[in-house]
Formats: sequence, structure tokens, C-alpha cells
Amino acid sequence: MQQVNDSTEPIYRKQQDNKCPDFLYLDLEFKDTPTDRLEQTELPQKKDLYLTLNFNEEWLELPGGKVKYGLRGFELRLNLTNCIIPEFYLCLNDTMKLVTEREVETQRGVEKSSKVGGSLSREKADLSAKQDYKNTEKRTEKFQKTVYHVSTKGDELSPAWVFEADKDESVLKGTLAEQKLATVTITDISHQLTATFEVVSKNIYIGDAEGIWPDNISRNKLAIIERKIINWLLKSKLQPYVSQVELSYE
Amino acid sequence: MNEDQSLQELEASIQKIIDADTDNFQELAELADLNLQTDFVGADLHGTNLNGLNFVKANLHQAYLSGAYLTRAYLTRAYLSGAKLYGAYLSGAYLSGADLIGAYLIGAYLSGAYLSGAYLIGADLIGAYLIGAYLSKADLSDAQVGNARFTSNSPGMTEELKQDLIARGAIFDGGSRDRVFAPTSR
Repeated sequence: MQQVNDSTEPIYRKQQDNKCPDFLYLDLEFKDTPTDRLEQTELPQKKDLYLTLNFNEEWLELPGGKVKYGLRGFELRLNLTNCIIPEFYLCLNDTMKLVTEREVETQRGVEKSSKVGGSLSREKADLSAKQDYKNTEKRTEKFQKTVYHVSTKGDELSPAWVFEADKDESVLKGTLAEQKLATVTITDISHQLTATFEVVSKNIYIGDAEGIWPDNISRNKLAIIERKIINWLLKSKLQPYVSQVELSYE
Repeated sequence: MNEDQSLQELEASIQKIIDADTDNFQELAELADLNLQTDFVGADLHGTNLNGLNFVKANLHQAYLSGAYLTRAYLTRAYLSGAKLYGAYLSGAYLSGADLIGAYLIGAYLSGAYLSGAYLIGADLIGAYLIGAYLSKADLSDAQVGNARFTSNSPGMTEELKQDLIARGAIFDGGSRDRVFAPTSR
């Protein structure tokens, strides 16, 4: 095993570029890694790499209206320098579980609501009062969905994860928090890892729209318009990458 | 060009499509500066009317074409791997040499379709109509053909292939079922 010369004092750096953080937030972290320097460490060394993702739909505002878009899939690619990820150390290679939040309304017999009604007719005069006792409480519940198929490709220097929403799921929404992505074998004290979140046209989903096209638009015209919007999104916002994180010891 | 200008251009382009006098998909694509052969990978084209259009060698990988009207469309050597074609109308479509590997063709209408040399490996053809389809050298290995309807006299239908398809659940020469034809347009 190679002994690290403790006179080298590599500095840990993390650079994050989330271009549309409300739409897609990407973070990567080595666990149990000192953030200032490594020294007196035996190499090769193994470190666990953890992934955090947060997905949301977003509105594209146009002068005459707006349209909602989201993701149906993506590719997460790593590029490694002086470190490797052997295939058998790849995690998250089957399904991805996202945590989503939803508002749940519950009722309890506490709240009082009063309704007073009256009617007057030639036949009958009537006045009624009614009181309902109920309590409506809104709370946010978190639940987990397994809806995304994950496959891996690439090699030990540039592994990639391909995520695709299942048939019934149209759009990615929710959070993947600190999911172990892989175990990295570090071969040199000075090393670098770059994660890039990329999408192509088939990964983009167009949802509701307001004020852009008439309700009775034909399927042909709508399909062409959606394609035009997707091409614009890719060119203007989502390519060459949506997010990038670079972890390095230099 | 800044983003505001670029958005205005996008909106103008959308308006041009809305206002177009035609509903022909190819003409609309040309108006939008889109190419049928290259710009519809993974596109949502469900329920569109694409009858008779030229998609020769087009890349429609993983496109969503369920319920699309593709009667007599030219899809020769098109790349339709993983495409979702549930209930799509493909009667008489030219699909020779097309890559339909892993395509979802459940309940699709392929009567009289030209599937010579098409790659249907692992395709899901459950309940599809292939009456009179041209199947010479079509590769149907690992395709799911349960309740798919075929005819014995289809070009390329050998006795060996027929028995293999029957063993996998296909229906042959099924009397009245053979006379089920898809509509050619909406």
C-alpha cells in the first residue's frame, strides 16, 4: 500500500452549479471525509459517496401565458480522476425511491360552524338554524414512492446512472435524501470527481398550460408545439447540463 | 439574443402553428422547423394523425405513439425500439427493416403491414392484429404474441413459424376475428 506523504496538504473543494435549483437540486458528498485535508492516509482508500436530489415541476412563463414542465428521466454521469468506482461498488442500480409530501385533511369533532337559513313564502314561513361541530385539520404527510427504474452503464472511470419514470408516472417529483450512490476507491491523494446531471428531449414532460393554446387545439398541432417548447428548454435552460457538482482534493 | 427575445420568438413560433390552416403533421413540422427523421425521439405523439407520412429511417426511439394513426405510413428502417404503440393504427404501414425491438404494440392494428425483415425481438404484440401482414424474414424471437391474430397465408408465414406462434398463444385464421380491420383515419 502506498503511504501518503504528510507534507502534501490537499485542500478539499466542492463546487456546485444548480442552474434551476427549484426544478432540480443535486448534491453529492463523501461521508466521513475530512473537509480540510487528508494526511497520513493509506492508499488506496475507500469512501462512500452519497447523493441528494430534489425534483419539482416548474412553470415556463411566456409573454402570453405559461406552461408547466417536468422531468420523466435523466442521466447522472460521473467523471473520475485518480479514483475509480468498480462495477460491483455501484449502488442505486435498480429502483429509486422518492419522498414526496402531500397535504392530508382530517376531521375531528371539535370545531363549531353555524349556518342560519330562512325562507319566506306565501304558504309557509320558516327559519332554521343549524350548528355543525367539526374540526378540519390540515397537515403534511411524507410518503415514499418507488416509481423510477435505474440502470447503470459506463466504466469505472465514468460510470453513469440512467433514471426513467415508470409507465404510470409522468413526472419526477420529490426528494432522494443522502442515498448511497457508490463506494469510490481513491488511488491518489489528489483526486477529483465531477457529477453531471443531463437530460435529453425524451426526458422532458410538458404538462398544464394557461393561455398559450386554445382548449380545442388538434393533437397534431399540440404535439408540434410541445416539441418546440422542449427544444427551447433544452437549448436555453437545460443543456449542456442541468446541474453539476465537483468534489476535489488538490 | 437575450432570454426575453428568445421567449418572444418561441411564442411567435407557437402562434404560427396555432394559426396554420393545415393540420398535416409534416407541414406543421416544417413550419416549426422540425425534422420528421431526427426531432421526435421520445416525443409524445399519442393520438396524432400521421397517416401516409414519410418516416423512413426516422429515429422514433421510445416515442409515445399510442393510438396514433400511422396507416400506410412509410416507416421503412425506422428506429422504433422501445416505442409505445398501444392500439396504434399501422395497417398497411411500411415497416420493412424497422427496429421494433422491445416496442409496445399491445392491441396495435398491423393488418397488411409490411414487416419484412423487421426486428420485433422482445416486442409486446399481445392482442395485436397482424392479419395479412408481410412477415418474410421478420424476427419475432421473444416477442409476446398472446392473443395476437395472424393468418396462415401471410407472406413469409411458414408452417414452422405458425406452430411456434401458436405455441406462444397466437390466434390463427380465427373466423370472424380475422375480419377485424382498423379504421384508416379519424
